[in-house]
Amino acid sequence: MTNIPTWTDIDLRIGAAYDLFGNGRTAVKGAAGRYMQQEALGFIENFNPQLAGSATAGRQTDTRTWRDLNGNDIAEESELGPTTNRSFGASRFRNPNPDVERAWQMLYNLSLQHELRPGIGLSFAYNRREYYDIGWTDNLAIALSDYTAIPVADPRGNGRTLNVYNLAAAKVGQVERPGHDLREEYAALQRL
Amino acid sequence: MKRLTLNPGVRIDYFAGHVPDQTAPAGRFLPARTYDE
Repeated sequence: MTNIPTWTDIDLRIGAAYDLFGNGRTAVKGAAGRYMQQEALGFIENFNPQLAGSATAGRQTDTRTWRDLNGNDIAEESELGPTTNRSFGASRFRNPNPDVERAWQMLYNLSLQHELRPGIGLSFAYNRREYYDIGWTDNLAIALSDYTAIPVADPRGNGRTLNVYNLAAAKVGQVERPGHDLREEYAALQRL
Repeated sequence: MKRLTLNPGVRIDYFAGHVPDQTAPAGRFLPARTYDE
């Protein structure tokens, strides 16, 4: 598999400092910049069909029922129930989104610094961080309609029922397709 | 303008990944496997 992924990004950054009164004691500083999310092997490993690493831990185990029909205390294949992990032994990620983009962040900061006396200063700062193109996985094999509502008695004993949603057994399947375009923001005020 | 300091920057990021051809011999539970790139 090639090009999982191929990302080329250009990041522009600028910082500025201004000596407010020209005496070198009070400064307004600001910066804005685009920073790409650090990447190594994590994204690619999801699509390696042979990898047995943490990124593919879901393929490592399969829980099956066992009825010891002949009473010999040996779990024989004919006594085992159906698999509950259809991805067992295979990669759960097989379809990287060809349009997936590298996650990135915008960092902003604006500060006011003042020297009270030599060696001692006061600073106020505003920091802001915005997250873009955060990846996620979407299970294309399962739709909301694959869940069946099963009413169960409210354990509080109030006579009501609660819906528990049960996934159709035939739909216990794969997870696929990292996507993008989520956005989150973080902002903080600091006084030092 | 002697009071102003500017510090502009440009960074170019290039990141490319691939999974190469792989083979695995037959084991206790699975036959031999070959994965093309």
